[in-house]
Amino acid sequence: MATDRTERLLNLVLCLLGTRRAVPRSTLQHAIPGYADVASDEAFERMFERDKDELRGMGIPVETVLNSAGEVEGYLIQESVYGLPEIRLDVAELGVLGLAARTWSDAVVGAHAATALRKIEATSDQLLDVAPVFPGQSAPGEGHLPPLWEAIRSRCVVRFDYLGRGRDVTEARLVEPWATVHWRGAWYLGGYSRERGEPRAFRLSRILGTVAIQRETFPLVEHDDINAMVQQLADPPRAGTALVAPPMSGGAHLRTRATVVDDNTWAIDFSDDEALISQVLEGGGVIVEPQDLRSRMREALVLVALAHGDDHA
Amino acid sequence: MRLLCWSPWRTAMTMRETSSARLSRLLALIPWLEQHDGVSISEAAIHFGITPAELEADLWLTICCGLPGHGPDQLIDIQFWDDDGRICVQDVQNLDRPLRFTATESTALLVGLRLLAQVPGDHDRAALASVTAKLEQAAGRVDDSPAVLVDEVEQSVVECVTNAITSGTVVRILYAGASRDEVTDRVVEPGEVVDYQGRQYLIGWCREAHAQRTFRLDRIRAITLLEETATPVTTQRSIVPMDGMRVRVRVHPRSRWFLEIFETDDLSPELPHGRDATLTVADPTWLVRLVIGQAGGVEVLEPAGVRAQVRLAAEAALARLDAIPS
Repeated sequence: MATDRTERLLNLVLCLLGTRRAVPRSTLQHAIPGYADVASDEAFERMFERDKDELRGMGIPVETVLNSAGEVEGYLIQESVYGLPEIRLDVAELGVLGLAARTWSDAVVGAHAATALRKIEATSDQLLDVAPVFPGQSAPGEGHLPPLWEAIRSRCVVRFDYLGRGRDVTEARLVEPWATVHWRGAWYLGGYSRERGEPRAFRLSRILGTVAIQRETFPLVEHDDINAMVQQLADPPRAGTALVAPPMSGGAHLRTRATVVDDNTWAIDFSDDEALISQVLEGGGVIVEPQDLRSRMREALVLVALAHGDDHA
Repeated sequence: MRLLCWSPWRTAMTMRETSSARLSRLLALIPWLEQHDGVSISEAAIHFGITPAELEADLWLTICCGLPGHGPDQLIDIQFWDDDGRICVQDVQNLDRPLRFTATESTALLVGLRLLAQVPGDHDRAALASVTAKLEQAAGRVDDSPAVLVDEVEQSVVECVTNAITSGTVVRILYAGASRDEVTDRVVEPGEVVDYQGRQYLIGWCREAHAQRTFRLDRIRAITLLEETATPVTTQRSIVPMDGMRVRVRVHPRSRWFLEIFETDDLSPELPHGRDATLTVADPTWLVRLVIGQAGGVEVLEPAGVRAQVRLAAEAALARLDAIPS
């Protein structure tokens, strides 16, 4: 039961934190309510191992102390390692800190930031304003940041389902994560794709489901400019020049990307055929050349017209 | 539209809170209560994003814990049952300090501060720098941050907008709007800057439109301060005009990003055909073009008028395409 377990863990922390000398397992078995009533020593050992791992997983520095013979003498938590030192802030600093915590619209990352704020408040008599937050909506993919950060720090391979650009189905990806990059309002993961055998950028909003941290680690690689890499990979290399019949009206955006050939023709350099089709469609123009893109644009328009037929879906 | 309080532990609690999530809260709560002795149950509950009943349950659990021996002097002693609803801390044993930050907690705060530094506005830049330094020191200087930020907005635009807001000065901007599809020259009385889905927007009174308008900072091509003081304006904190049109759409997974650029609500769960959502748009003409650009990845469900506009525009483009000789 969760309540009993929380109580047992809290007692364990109190016991290990209040000691200068390592506490042997046998003492813990008798001193911590919850361990004493376990049927067998074996069951206690299993329970204690699980508890110890759980505390460490939460970032509580449970130390294993060895004796001169190299045997486990016991366990302790050093107060100086455990405790957050006092963080004293002035009014202006408190103000910006509150704002900073609220830049996260995602509940998961926001929760980590909020926990950190409560901890700061617990080191002095200062309180931050708790303004209600209007989450609007979660920034897509922002919730993948905590596991990715953890994997980047521990250099663990990650596995996730990724919806590639223009794909209908996701593919499982194994990636050696290097860094997360915030660029043009979106988060990307830059790393080495095991499937492709080369560095890749992944947009976090296209990661569906959860990011699974694998046991397997990877060696530290020298990557000099991760953000340049992400920008380059997120924008694939140039693929050609298209001729486009300009829109009847408007189209200023498309125009900024085009070179005017004559009244009826604009030339547009493109780096991604799918993006080009989208841009020309949005701008109200039509692709004249290349032929294959022209027929793909036609297919796209047929799809749109069909999807918006009279009979409702 | 959802309205929530800032509830750090809420996600865990609605599911079924794990013991480590609860312990994590208790380890922050206990020293927090000692620092803020006499705080009311309701105020403490608000800070920790839980209900007063949940807070009381936490306190009942806490006072059963203590140092080995568990005699009266060894237990945590917190009194909270008086009628005034206040929490009085007698003895927290050795839990007088919170657990240090986890790596994710400090990254979330530090990256948040850096994101904030990119946003123009009247927040205190000196305070931003000093609080960052203090946190980095407390966090034990995390070796290499796993997060990199790329600043896209011209620093000169950021500075100029910041200046204009703090000094209350009118600005003139060259703005490449998305919905009007043209670059316009506008005189704007700046109100404030808001951050919405990772992008920054200036909300202000547009003299050309005689209305409140929202400008995405990375679309401001040029900006100059005019020698004129702005009339203080109260801005509506909204990226989309309040009188925007509501359009129900069905978005296929491959066009998922489409939902990222709008204010959406009534978002359906992930279904085989994608997700349904209601968008609020200022200009349906713009939406129609964007929908066409998605090549069938987005379908307008309602209103019927907008749905018909999409069909007609697609048919017109088809006719034009077929008229071009191969």
